[in-house]
Amino acid sequence: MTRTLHSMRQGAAIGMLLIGVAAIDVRADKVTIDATVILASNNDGQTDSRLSAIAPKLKKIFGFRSYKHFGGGSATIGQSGRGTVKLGGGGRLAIKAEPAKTGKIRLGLQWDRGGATVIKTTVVKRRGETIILGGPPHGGGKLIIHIVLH
Amino acid sequence: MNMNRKQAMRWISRSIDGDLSADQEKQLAAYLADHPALRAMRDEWTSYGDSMRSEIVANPPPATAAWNDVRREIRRMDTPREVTIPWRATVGWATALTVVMLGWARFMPTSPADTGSDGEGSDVEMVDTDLSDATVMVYKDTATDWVIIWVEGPDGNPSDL
Repeated sequence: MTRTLHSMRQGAAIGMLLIGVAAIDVRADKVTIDATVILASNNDGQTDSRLSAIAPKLKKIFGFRSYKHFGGGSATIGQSGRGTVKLGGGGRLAIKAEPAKTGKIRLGLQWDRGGATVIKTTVVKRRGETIILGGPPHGGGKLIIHIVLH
Repeated sequence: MNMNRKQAMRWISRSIDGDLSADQEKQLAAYLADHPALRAMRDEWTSYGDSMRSEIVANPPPATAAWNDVRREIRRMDTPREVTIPWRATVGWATALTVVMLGWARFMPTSPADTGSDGEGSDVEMVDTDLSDATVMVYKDTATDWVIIWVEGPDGNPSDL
């Protein structure tokens, strides 16, 4: 009986281990891209509270006085997949992902707005890293996309 | 080989550039051992080259300088200017990469992780824009590790897109 219980415990432990490995694999197969569109300007006005986590870095890098949340969204795609994020205001971000060496991910990003491709780029990044696309003028300021790869 | 002063001066110059063979270096060293004035001149030239190189390193790298231009333009945005520049066409990515990637590869301070995609080259492999006469620049902020890809019109503040 003791031997049977021991075997059952071992089996359960192995089963839990396998479930854990499967969960890690599922996450590793997917890539989530969070894109936040920001209208940065030197107009008077407080910085949007939704941007409080990144506003200090934005201010330090760009030097604009005001940062407002303009739109954005996220997309979860396969590590070798494609997706789109609607950015608001007619903008969209097309994404293409593929695995790169040393655990990095090669991301093709195409930011379209107003019928034109504002920026098309290919970057190779790790999960958790940030990419900023920006520059097009809007409402007396500049549009910036804060993109984080998860 | 019988070396004279003129020959020695030429060889000193080539030696500083690393163009002399090992045998020529030996001949030059032997000549300089007997000519302290030329030895002093060689030391002076070497020191001058070192100071020039250290100045180059101390200067702001082009990528940083270009980003400072963007920030300067941002500060000037308090008074928006009206422009009617048509802002659409294709800018070859090669142009952008020539400006940006060369600057990055040569001058940007990088950590081992930034030495590039798959350990070679840069984080940013390609950049393109449809905006006419626009300049695309890539800047990496070393404090945050953020990569910034920025398009700037010829005027710095063109009409809304």
